[in-house]
Amino acid sequence: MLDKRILERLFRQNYSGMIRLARTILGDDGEAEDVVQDVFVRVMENSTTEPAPAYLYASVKYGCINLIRQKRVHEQVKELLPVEVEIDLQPVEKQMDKLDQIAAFVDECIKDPHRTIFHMRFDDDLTVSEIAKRMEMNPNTTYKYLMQCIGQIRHFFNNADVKL
Amino acid sequence: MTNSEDNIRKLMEMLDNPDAYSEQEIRDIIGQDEETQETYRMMVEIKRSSRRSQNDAPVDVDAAWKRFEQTHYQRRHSNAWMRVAAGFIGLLFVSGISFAAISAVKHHNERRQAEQQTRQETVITTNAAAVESEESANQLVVFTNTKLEQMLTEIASYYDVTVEYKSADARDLRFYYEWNRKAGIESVIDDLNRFAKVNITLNNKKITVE
Repeated sequence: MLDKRILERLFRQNYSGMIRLARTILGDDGEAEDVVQDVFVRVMENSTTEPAPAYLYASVKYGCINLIRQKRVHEQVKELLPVEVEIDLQPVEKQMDKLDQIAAFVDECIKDPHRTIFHMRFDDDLTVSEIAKRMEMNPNTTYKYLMQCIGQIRHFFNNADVKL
Repeated sequence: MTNSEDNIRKLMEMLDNPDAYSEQEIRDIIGQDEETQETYRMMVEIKRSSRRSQNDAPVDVDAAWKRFEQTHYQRRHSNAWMRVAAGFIGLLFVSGISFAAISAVKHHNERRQAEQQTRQETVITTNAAAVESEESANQLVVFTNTKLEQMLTEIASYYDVTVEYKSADARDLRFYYEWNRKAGIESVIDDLNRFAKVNITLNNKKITVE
Protein backbone atom coordinates (compact mmCIF):
# COMPACT_ATOMS: atom_id res chain seq x y z
CA MET A 1 0.00 0.00 0.00
CA LEU A 2 1.35 3.41 -0.99
CA ASP A 3 2.31 5.82 1.78
CA LYS A 4 -0.48 8.32 2.39
CA ARG A 5 1.83 11.36 2.18
CA ILE A 6 3.09 10.27 -1.26
CA LEU A 7 -0.43 9.62 -2.45
CA GLU A 8 -1.64 13.01 -1.26
CA ARG A 9 1.21 14.73 -3.08
CA LEU A 10 0.45 12.78 -6.29
CA PHE A 11 -3.21 13.59 -5.92
CA ARG A 12 -2.63 17.31 -5.46
CA GLN A 13 -0.18 17.46 -8.37
CA ASN A 14 -2.21 15.50 -10.90
CA TYR A 15 -5.89 15.52 -9.95
CA SER A 16 -6.77 18.66 -11.84
CA GLY A 17 -5.27 17.45 -15.13
CA MET A 18 -6.70 13.97 -14.69
CA ILE A 19 -10.20 15.30 -14.06
CA ARG A 20 -9.94 17.52 -17.09
CA LEU A 21 -8.93 14.53 -19.22
CA ALA A 22 -11.80 12.39 -17.92
CA ARG A 23 -14.32 15.20 -18.47
CA THR A 24 -13.00 15.67 -22.00
CA ILE A 25 -13.46 12.00 -22.84
CA LEU A 26 -16.72 11.39 -20.97
CA GLY A 27 -18.53 14.73 -20.89
CA ASP A 28 -19.95 13.98 -17.44
CA ASP A 29 -18.42 15.53 -14.32
CA GLY A 30 -19.72 12.87 -11.91
CA GLU A 31 -18.45 9.98 -14.01
CA ALA A 32 -15.15 11.78 -14.50
CA GLU A 33 -14.67 12.12 -10.76
CA ASP A 34 -15.52 8.42 -10.24
CA VAL A 35 -12.93 7.34 -12.81
CA VAL A 36 -10.19 9.52 -11.33
CA GLN A 37 -10.94 8.51 -7.76
CA ASP A 38 -10.85 4.85 -8.85
CA VAL A 39 -7.40 5.38 -10.31
CA PHE A 40 -6.17 6.77 -6.97
CA VAL A 41 -7.81 3.93 -5.05
CA ARG A 42 -5.94 1.41 -7.19
CA VAL A 43 -2.69 3.32 -6.73
CA MET A 44 -3.30 3.48 -2.98
CA GLU A 45 -3.99 -0.24 -2.72
CA ASN A 46 -1.63 -1.74 -5.26
CA SER A 47 1.37 0.51 -5.63
CA THR A 48 4.39 0.31 -3.43
CA THR A 49 6.35 2.91 -5.36
CA GLU A 50 5.30 6.25 -6.72
CA PRO A 51 3.80 5.87 -10.22
CA ALA A 52 4.72 8.27 -13.02
CA PRO A 53 2.15 10.91 -14.05
CA ALA A 54 1.98 9.28 -17.51
CA TYR A 55 0.74 6.09 -15.83
CA LEU A 56 -1.95 8.03 -13.97
CA TYR A 57 -3.17 9.73 -17.14
CA ALA A 58 -3.16 6.48 -19.11
CA SER A 59 -5.15 4.86 -16.29
CA VAL A 60 -7.74 7.62 -16.55
CA LYS A 61 -7.99 7.07 -20.30
CA TYR A 62 -8.52 3.33 -19.92
CA GLY A 63 -10.96 3.89 -17.05
CA CYS A 64 -13.00 6.15 -19.33
CA ILE A 65 -12.87 3.65 -22.19
CA ASN A 66 -14.14 0.91 -19.91
CA LEU A 67 -16.97 3.11 -18.75
CA ILE A 68 -17.94 4.03 -22.32
CA ARG A 69 -17.95 0.35 -23.28
CA GLN A 70 -20.53 -0.33 -20.59
CA LYS A 71 -22.94 2.27 -21.93
CA ARG A 72 -25.83 1.56 -24.26
CA VAL A 73 -25.34 2.67 -27.84
CA HIS A 74 -28.05 5.33 -27.45
CA GLU A 75 -26.18 6.88 -24.52
CA GLN A 76 -22.96 6.74 -26.53
CA VAL A 77 -24.29 8.60 -29.55
CA LYS A 78 -26.20 11.19 -27.50
CA GLU A 79 -22.93 12.28 -25.90
CA LEU A 80 -20.93 11.72 -29.09
CA LEU A 81 -18.88 9.00 -27.45
CA PRO A 82 -17.11 6.33 -29.48
CA VAL A 83 -19.37 3.41 -30.36
CA GLU A 84 -16.73 0.92 -31.39
CA VAL A 85 -13.88 1.72 -29.07
CA GLU A 86 -10.43 1.24 -30.46
CA ILE A 87 -7.49 1.74 -28.20
CA ASP A 88 -5.40 4.69 -29.27
CA LEU A 89 -1.85 3.89 -28.28
CA GLN A 90 -0.68 7.48 -28.66
CA PRO A 91 0.33 9.20 -25.43
CA VAL A 92 -2.50 11.14 -23.83
CA GLU A 93 -0.55 14.36 -24.23
CA LYS A 94 -0.44 13.95 -28.01
CA GLN A 95 -4.14 13.23 -28.17
CA MET A 96 -4.89 16.37 -26.17
CA ASP A 97 -2.60 18.39 -28.44
CA LYS A 98 -4.68 17.28 -31.39
CA LEU A 99 -7.88 18.40 -29.68
CA ASP A 100 -6.32 21.81 -29.13
CA GLN A 101 -5.29 21.93 -32.78
CA ILE A 102 -8.86 21.16 -33.84
CA ALA A 103 -10.11 24.08 -31.74
CA ALA A 104 -7.44 26.38 -33.18
CA PHE A 105 -8.23 25.28 -36.74
CA VAL A 106 -11.93 26.02 -36.28
CA ASP A 107 -11.19 29.46 -34.85
CA GLU A 108 -8.70 30.39 -37.55
CA CYS A 109 -9.83 28.66 -40.70
CA ILE A 110 -13.58 28.20 -40.57
CA LYS A 111 -15.56 31.28 -41.43
CA ASP A 112 -19.11 32.27 -40.64
CA PRO A 113 -21.79 31.15 -40.93
CA HIS A 114 -20.13 27.74 -40.85
CA ARG A 115 -18.29 28.52 -37.62
CA THR A 116 -21.40 29.65 -35.78
CA ILE A 117 -23.27 26.54 -36.91
CA PHE A 118 -20.34 24.42 -35.83
CA HIS A 119 -20.27 25.93 -32.31
CA MET A 120 -24.01 25.62 -31.94
CA ARG A 121 -23.83 21.94 -32.82
CA PHE A 122 -20.78 20.92 -30.80
CA ASP A 123 -20.62 23.43 -27.95
CA ASP A 124 -24.32 24.01 -27.34
CA ASP A 125 -25.58 20.56 -28.43
CA LEU A 126 -28.32 21.99 -30.62
CA THR A 127 -29.92 19.83 -33.28
CA VAL A 128 -29.69 20.83 -36.91
CA SER A 129 -33.34 21.89 -36.99
CA GLU A 130 -32.81 24.06 -33.88
CA ILE A 131 -29.76 25.64 -35.48
CA ALA A 132 -31.67 26.21 -38.73
CA LYS A 133 -34.42 28.00 -36.82
CA ARG A 134 -32.00 30.23 -34.94
CA MET A 135 -30.03 31.02 -38.06
CA GLU A 136 -33.24 31.41 -40.09
CA MET A 137 -31.75 29.03 -42.55
CA ASN A 138 -33.02 26.08 -44.53
CA PRO A 139 -32.29 22.81 -42.63
CA ASN A 140 -30.79 21.29 -45.78
CA THR A 141 -28.35 24.18 -46.02
CA THR A 142 -27.54 23.83 -42.33
CA TYR A 143 -26.77 20.12 -42.79
CA LYS A 144 -24.63 20.98 -45.79
CA TYR A 145 -22.62 23.62 -43.91
CA LEU A 146 -22.08 21.35 -40.94
CA MET A 147 -20.90 18.51 -43.17
CA GLN A 148 -18.55 20.93 -44.91
CA CYS A 149 -17.03 21.98 -41.55
CA ILE A 150 -16.41 18.39 -40.53
CA GLY A 151 -15.01 17.61 -43.97
CA GLN A 152 -12.57 20.53 -43.75
CA ILE A 153 -11.30 19.41 -40.35
CA ARG A 154 -10.92 15.85 -41.56
CA HIS A 155 -9.09 17.03 -44.60
CA PHE A 156 -6.76 19.20 -42.51
CA PHE A 157 -5.74 16.36 -40.26
CA ASN A 158 -5.73 13.99 -43.19
CA ASN A 159 -7.62 11.73 -40.88
CA ALA A 160 -4.87 9.15 -41.01
CA ASP A 161 -4.13 9.09 -37.32
CA VAL A 162 -7.67 9.62 -36.02
CA LYS A 163 -8.53 6.99 -33.53
CA LEU A 164 -11.15 6.97 -30.86
CA MET B 1 -25.80 14.35 -53.45
CA THR B 2 -23.41 11.39 -53.66
CA ASN B 3 -24.15 8.15 -51.89
CA SER B 4 -21.53 8.90 -49.27
CA GLU B 5 -22.94 12.36 -48.57
CA ASP B 6 -26.36 10.82 -48.30
CA ASN B 7 -25.07 8.36 -45.69
CA ILE B 8 -23.43 11.17 -43.69
CA ARG B 9 -26.68 13.11 -43.82
CA LYS B 10 -28.45 10.04 -42.41
CA LEU B 11 -25.82 9.94 -39.64
CA MET B 12 -26.46 13.59 -38.76
CA GLU B 13 -30.21 13.06 -38.73
CA MET B 14 -29.84 10.05 -36.49
CA LEU B 15 -27.59 11.98 -34.07
CA ASP B 16 -30.25 14.67 -33.77
CA ASN B 17 -32.78 12.13 -32.51
CA PRO B 18 -31.21 8.77 -31.55
CA ASP B 19 -34.26 7.63 -29.59
CA ALA B 20 -36.15 7.25 -32.86
CA TYR B 21 -33.74 4.49 -33.89
CA SER B 22 -33.09 0.98 -32.61
CA GLU B 23 -29.65 -0.02 -31.40
CA GLN B 24 -29.08 -2.03 -34.57
CA GLU B 25 -30.20 0.83 -36.79
CA ILE B 26 -27.76 3.18 -35.07
CA ARG B 27 -24.91 0.73 -35.54
CA ASP B 28 -25.88 0.20 -39.18
CA ILE B 29 -25.98 3.93 -39.88
CA ILE B 30 -22.58 4.59 -38.29
CA GLY B 31 -21.00 1.57 -39.94
CA GLN B 32 -22.65 1.82 -43.36
CA ASP B 33 -19.41 2.83 -45.10
CA GLU B 34 -15.89 3.89 -44.23
CA GLU B 35 -16.60 7.53 -44.93
CA THR B 36 -19.47 7.61 -42.44
CA GLN B 37 -17.41 5.77 -39.82
CA GLU B 38 -14.62 8.29 -40.21
CA THR B 39 -17.06 11.17 -40.02
CA TYR B 40 -18.48 9.84 -36.75
CA ARG B 41 -14.95 9.38 -35.37
CA MET B 42 -14.13 12.94 -36.35
CA MET B 43 -17.28 14.17 -34.63
CA VAL B 44 -16.25 12.31 -31.46
CA GLU B 45 -12.92 14.12 -31.56
CA ILE B 46 -14.53 17.46 -32.31
CA LYS B 47 -16.86 16.99 -29.35
CA ARG B 48 -13.88 16.17 -27.15
CA SER B 49 -12.15 19.27 -28.40
CA SER B 50 -15.21 21.32 -27.58
CA ARG B 51 -15.43 19.83 -24.05
CA ARG B 52 -11.75 20.50 -23.51
CA SER B 53 -12.11 24.14 -24.57
CA GLN B 54 -15.14 24.62 -22.34
CA ASN B 55 -13.56 22.87 -19.38
CA ASP B 56 -11.32 25.64 -18.16
CA ALA B 57 -12.97 26.14 -14.79
CA PRO B 58 -10.51 25.61 -11.92
CA VAL B 59 -10.83 22.31 -10.06
CA ASP B 60 -11.10 22.36 -6.27
CA VAL B 61 -8.33 19.84 -5.61
CA ASP B 62 -8.40 20.41 -1.87
CA ALA B 63 -12.08 19.52 -1.60
CA ALA B 64 -11.54 16.50 -3.87
CA TRP B 65 -8.68 15.25 -1.69
CA LYS B 66 -10.82 15.65 1.43
CA ARG B 67 -13.60 13.62 -0.21
CA PHE B 68 -11.10 10.96 -1.19
CA GLU B 69 -9.54 10.88 2.24
CA GLN B 70 -12.89 10.71 3.96
CA THR B 71 -14.21 7.96 1.72
CA HIS B 72 -11.17 5.74 1.48
CA TYR B 73 -8.91 6.33 4.45
CA GLN B 74 -11.58 6.64 7.15
CA ARG B 75 -13.43 3.63 5.75
CA ARG B 76 -10.22 1.61 5.73
CA HIS B 77 -9.49 2.70 9.29
CA SER B 78 -12.96 1.68 10.39
CA ASN B 79 -12.69 -1.61 8.47
CA ALA B 80 -9.38 -2.31 10.19
CA TRP B 81 -11.00 -1.67 13.58
CA MET B 82 -13.88 -3.94 12.67
CA ARG B 83 -11.44 -6.68 11.64
CA VAL B 84 -9.75 -6.45 15.01
CA ALA B 85 -13.13 -6.53 16.77
CA ALA B 86 -14.24 -9.48 14.65
CA GLY B 87 -11.04 -11.31 15.53
CA PHE B 88 -11.64 -10.66 19.21
CA ILE B 89 -15.21 -11.91 19.00
CA GLY B 90 -14.01 -14.94 17.08
CA LEU B 91 -11.51 -15.65 19.82
CA LEU B 92 -14.18 -15.48 22.48
CA PHE B 93 -16.42 -17.64 20.39
CA VAL B 94 -13.77 -20.32 19.96
CA SER B 95 -12.83 -20.23 23.62
CA GLY B 96 -16.52 -20.60 24.49
CA ILE B 97 -16.79 -23.68 22.33
CA SER B 98 -13.70 -25.19 23.97
CA PHE B 99 -15.08 -24.50 27.41
CA ALA B 100 -18.38 -26.10 26.52
CA ALA B 101 -16.57 -29.12 25.16
CA ILE B 102 -14.69 -29.53 28.45
CA SER B 103 -17.84 -29.08 30.49
CA ALA B 104 -20.07 -31.26 28.44
CA VAL B 105 -21.22 -34.64 29.63
CA LYS B 106 -20.46 -37.89 27.90
CA HIS B 107 -23.93 -38.23 26.42
CA HIS B 108 -23.62 -35.13 24.37
CA ASN B 109 -25.75 -35.66 21.38
CA GLU B 110 -23.86 -35.72 18.09
CA ARG B 111 -26.89 -34.64 16.17
CA ARG B 112 -27.16 -31.58 18.36
CA GLN B 113 -23.53 -30.70 17.62
CA ALA B 114 -24.26 -30.76 13.92
CA GLU B 115 -27.27 -28.53 14.46
CA GLN B 116 -25.15 -26.17 16.52
CA GLN B 117 -22.59 -25.92 13.77
CA THR B 118 -25.22 -25.05 11.23
CA ARG B 119 -26.69 -22.43 13.50
CA GLN B 120 -23.29 -20.96 14.38
CA GLU B 121 -23.05 -19.70 10.82
CA THR B 122 -26.12 -17.54 11.23
CA VAL B 123 -25.88 -16.61 14.87
CA ILE B 124 -24.51 -13.22 15.87
CA THR B 125 -22.36 -13.14 18.96
CA THR B 126 -21.08 -10.17 20.90
CA ASN B 127 -18.30 -9.58 23.35
CA ALA B 128 -20.30 -7.60 25.87
CA ALA B 129 -18.39 -7.63 29.12
CA ALA B 130 -21.13 -8.85 31.40
CA VAL B 131 -23.58 -11.10 29.64
CA GLU B 132 -22.12 -12.14 26.36
CA SER B 133 -25.26 -12.81 24.52
CA GLU B 134 -27.23 -11.37 21.69
CA GLU B 135 -30.67 -12.00 20.46
CA SER B 136 -31.07 -12.71 16.82
CA ALA B 137 -34.18 -12.67 14.75
CA ASN B 138 -34.46 -16.45 14.93
CA GLN B 139 -34.86 -16.37 18.71
CA LEU B 140 -31.42 -17.75 19.34
CA VAL B 141 -29.40 -16.33 22.23
CA VAL B 142 -25.77 -17.31 22.54
CA PHE B 143 -24.10 -17.24 25.93
CA THR B 144 -20.37 -17.22 25.48
CA ASN B 145 -18.24 -18.09 28.49
CA THR B 146 -21.04 -16.74 30.67
CA LYS B 147 -21.64 -17.32 34.38
CA LEU B 148 -24.49 -19.73 35.13
CA GLU B 149 -26.11 -17.16 37.40
CA GLN B 150 -26.27 -14.55 34.66
CA MET B 151 -27.51 -17.08 32.19
CA LEU B 152 -30.23 -18.43 34.46
CA THR B 153 -31.38 -14.96 35.51
CA GLU B 154 -32.09 -14.16 31.90
CA ILE B 155 -33.65 -17.52 31.12
CA ALA B 156 -35.80 -17.55 34.29
CA SER B 157 -37.01 -14.04 33.62
CA TYR B 158 -38.04 -15.00 30.10
CA TYR B 159 -40.03 -18.05 31.27
CA ASP B 160 -41.30 -16.19 34.35
CA VAL B 161 -39.83 -18.61 36.92
CA THR B 162 -37.53 -18.07 39.93
CA VAL B 163 -34.08 -19.53 40.61
CA GLU B 164 -32.70 -20.98 43.83
CA TYR B 165 -29.07 -21.96 44.32
CA LYS B 166 -28.28 -24.72 46.74
CA SER B 167 -24.67 -24.67 45.67
CA ALA B 168 -23.01 -21.26 45.85
CA ASP B 169 -20.14 -22.43 43.65
CA ALA B 170 -22.56 -23.23 40.84
CA ARG B 171 -23.34 -19.53 40.40
CA ASP B 172 -19.86 -18.82 39.06
CA LEU B 173 -19.57 -21.76 36.69
CA ARG B 174 -19.12 -20.53 33.17
CA PHE B 175 -20.69 -22.09 30.12
CA TYR B 176 -21.13 -21.74 26.44
CA TYR B 177 -24.79 -22.29 25.65
CA GLU B 178 -27.06 -21.59 22.72
CA TRP B 179 -30.51 -20.87 24.03
CA ASN B 180 -33.35 -21.20 21.59
CA ARG B 181 -36.16 -19.20 23.09
CA LYS B 182 -38.69 -21.10 21.04
CA ALA B 183 -37.84 -24.21 23.07
CA GLY B 184 -39.83 -24.92 26.23
CA ILE B 185 -38.22 -24.40 29.63
CA GLU B 186 -38.10 -28.16 30.26
CA SER B 187 -36.02 -28.61 27.16
CA VAL B 188 -33.66 -25.84 28.29
CA ILE B 189 -33.26 -27.42 31.74
CA ASP B 190 -32.59 -30.69 29.99
CA ASP B 191 -29.87 -29.09 27.92
CA LEU B 192 -28.25 -27.44 30.93
CA ASN B 193 -28.24 -30.69 32.83
CA ARG B 194 -25.95 -32.10 30.19
CA PHE B 195 -23.18 -30.05 31.73
CA ALA B 196 -21.30 -32.28 34.14
CA LYS B 197 -21.01 -29.94 37.09
CA VAL B 198 -24.62 -28.97 37.69
CA ASN B 199 -27.90 -30.54 38.57
CA ILE B 200 -30.85 -28.36 37.74
CA THR B 201 -34.47 -29.15 38.44
CA LEU B 202 -37.74 -27.37 37.81
CA ASN B 203 -40.58 -27.54 40.28
CA ASN B 204 -43.58 -25.23 40.68
CA LYS B 205 -42.12 -22.48 38.58
CA LYS B 206 -38.85 -22.59 40.45
CA ILE B 207 -35.46 -23.64 39.12
CA THR B 208 -33.22 -25.24 41.70
CA VAL B 209 -29.49 -25.50 41.09
CA GLU B 210 -27.46 -28.03 43.07
